[in-house]
Amino acid sequence: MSGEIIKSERLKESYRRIKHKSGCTICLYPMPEYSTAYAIFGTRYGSVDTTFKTKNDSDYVTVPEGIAHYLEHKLFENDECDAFELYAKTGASANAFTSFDSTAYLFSCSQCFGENLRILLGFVQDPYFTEENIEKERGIIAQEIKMYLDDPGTRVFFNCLNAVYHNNPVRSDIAGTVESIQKIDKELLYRCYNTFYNPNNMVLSIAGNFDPDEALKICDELLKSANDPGLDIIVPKEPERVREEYIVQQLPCAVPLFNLGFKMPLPEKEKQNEDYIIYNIMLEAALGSFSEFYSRLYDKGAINDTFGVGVFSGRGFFLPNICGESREPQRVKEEIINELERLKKDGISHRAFETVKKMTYGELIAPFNNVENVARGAMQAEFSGQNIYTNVEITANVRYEDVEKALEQLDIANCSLSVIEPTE
Amino acid sequence: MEQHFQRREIADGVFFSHYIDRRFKINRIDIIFTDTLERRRAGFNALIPAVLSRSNSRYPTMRELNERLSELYSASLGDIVKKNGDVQLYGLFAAAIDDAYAIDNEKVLSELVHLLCDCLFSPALENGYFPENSLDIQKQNLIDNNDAEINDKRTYAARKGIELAFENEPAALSVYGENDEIRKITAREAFEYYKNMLKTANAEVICVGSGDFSEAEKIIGEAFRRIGRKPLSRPESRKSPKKDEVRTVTEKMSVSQSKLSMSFKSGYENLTAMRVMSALLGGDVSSKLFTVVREKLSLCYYCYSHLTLSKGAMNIESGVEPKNLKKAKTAILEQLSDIQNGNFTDEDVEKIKRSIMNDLRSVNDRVGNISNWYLNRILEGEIFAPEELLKRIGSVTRENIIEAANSFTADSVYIITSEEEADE
Repeated sequence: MSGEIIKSERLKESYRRIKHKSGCTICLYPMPEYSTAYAIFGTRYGSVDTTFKTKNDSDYVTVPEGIAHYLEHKLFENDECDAFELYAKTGASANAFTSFDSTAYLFSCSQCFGENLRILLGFVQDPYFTEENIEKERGIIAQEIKMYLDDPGTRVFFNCLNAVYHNNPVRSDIAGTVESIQKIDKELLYRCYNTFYNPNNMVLSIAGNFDPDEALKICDELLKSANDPGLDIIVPKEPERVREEYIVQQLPCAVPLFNLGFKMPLPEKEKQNEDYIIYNIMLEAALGSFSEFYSRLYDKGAINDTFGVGVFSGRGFFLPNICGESREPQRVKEEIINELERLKKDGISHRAFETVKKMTYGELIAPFNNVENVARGAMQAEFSGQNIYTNVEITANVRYEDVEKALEQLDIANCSLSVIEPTE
Repeated sequence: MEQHFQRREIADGVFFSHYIDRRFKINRIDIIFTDTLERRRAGFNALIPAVLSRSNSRYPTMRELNERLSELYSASLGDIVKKNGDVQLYGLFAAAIDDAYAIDNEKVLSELVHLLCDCLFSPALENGYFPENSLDIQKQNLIDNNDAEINDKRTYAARKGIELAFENEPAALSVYGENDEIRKITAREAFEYYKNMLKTANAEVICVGSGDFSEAEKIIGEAFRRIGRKPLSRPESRKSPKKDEVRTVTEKMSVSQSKLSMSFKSGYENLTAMRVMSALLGGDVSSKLFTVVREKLSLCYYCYSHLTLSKGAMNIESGVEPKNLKKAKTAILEQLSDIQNGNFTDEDVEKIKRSIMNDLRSVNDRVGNISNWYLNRILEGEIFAPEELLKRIGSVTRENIIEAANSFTADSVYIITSEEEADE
């Protein structure tokens, strides 16, 4: 079998990565002692990819918001029936999702692996769009969009993105708006499909109980070859400062929700993954569940168990942010700012740093228990130019100075607070 | 697979089970108490684990305990509160990576067991009771949890549907207790209740993972035996009586998407046939509710059915455009009557069986699923592996399905919709 073996000494595990002749990258991660197999076929194409051209196009095109997601819905259907019907014959459980920077189609099965892989590779490579079937889907997608408009957890996050960014397409809901999806038609869907569903832009990742030789044989047979499209995606220029410092919306909810995002320049591509881990460790050590800050606010009832810190990171965006519920979101924001300023002067405790490092390491090991996480993890790692073990190694090697530097670089004043208040 | 799961009584009314599987990189221990849902006790049962899980005599503040857990590679230790029909399940769980993956060769599992036992049997106290402040915070958290149900309209509607279907029965109560009851709880009452709980509540200890749980069995068993246990009789669910006529309740709320929750009741004894019937009706993407009501008629964004077997009840949840409420309801009822009249093919049945079997075969692949599976079987009074249910599903006939469908009659309907559409 061709390809390279990627190994982790630490986990005593390995998998195979193959650059297939079709152009597609294939990750094969057999876990024979499990009952299920999980396969995911994804493309580096998400809601942020709105302005682009290939080397064959004369000019850039800007497409309506929500088209990657619309395409995901439509690909499930071919001229005879939809993919769910095909999977129903084998009993596999299938799904698909669109994120900010990727779209993926997946199945999980405990039998008929080969047949399921054929279904997956079949429908993803066989678009069938008609004016009629596109029209029918519009209603369902509009329903989905409306459902999220009612969801305070989703709104508080997107409002924050809208307050932070002026132009970055990450501001828009992944599914678009009820208005934007009206502009989506057959021609645009085919254009996006032909641009982004090129095997050179795609990854097939399989983990669990399956036969790698059988999988490769099916790939050889079904993966259609194509030349590298020479994709060029425009990321709009983004001003340095946040667009708005405060944004508020009323919705039916119990306790107000908040999300505080700190705008910063996008790390270099090669460093983004490492920065993602370093900033996570920094925020966790500074404000996380065993920090002095956390227990002080928790004991006063200013925050509750929903409080969390993290970094929203992907292709073209990087936003350290802090979210939770509070009856006094403005005060929580001030407390966060004060604490980060204090830590900039006094430094994060070494003990906190060491503890968070172990914690992060543990969080990265646990998913290897699970076939789904492994298949998804290998695909995601591939999309960001890494392998599935990279983050474990980065974490084991993070130094205190890295975290100190991250805190130093965080521009505390350049932040947006988003709040959802309960309707009267 | 049966040889994996073993259960024995280690103290009066306390059962210890373990399921050892070397594939897993983590170990998990659940200590679950059971009680019949009751207005006043429900609040105590939810509050006490919440307080216990945040500190213990060795780590008397939440911060210290959180820090210790983080050092143990992000071990988790938390409270569990859930219900199964009329029965409230509450207690603590702890999970961490297996010793084999510790960077510094720590004895992670042993320390995890001690932390968990200290939380349960040796809590942090102040003047002989739970610390007033931590009690108050957890009371507020529970109240917030109850109030926050409205944040997710989908869950909220399903919960209101259940409340209406099981009116005046234990199953209608909130697992977090009722707000007015929670507010009344004093530090003294909470501590008295806790001591009585250790003495009288039935308990299940379930361990899953790759580790050696003999130490857990020993120290948990000893701790319970020291108490002088006098267990109460085991709580059980009762079949829910049918209402004389179908009740419909409409709640007005400013939402973009309306919710429709419909309840049905049955006294049918063949529970396996009920599972297949409900799956055929609305179990997954090959079900009638999905393929007809969502895909073909585009009436709902989501539409599915779920069973509360111990109550003999089935609920159908859907998210609908306000103007389509009536149409959706009619279409949903038509799908049920189609099954009642035998309007489905043998192939439909085979598909659904395959899909259920696919899910069942994957139960053994996840630590959390295994715990849950066996806990539910223990509650139902018959312990068997997922493989056994596979066999039973296989023998369900077309006639069983029709019978099961005909055993259901409409009980109640709960609707959430915006002001202007509320006259449905």
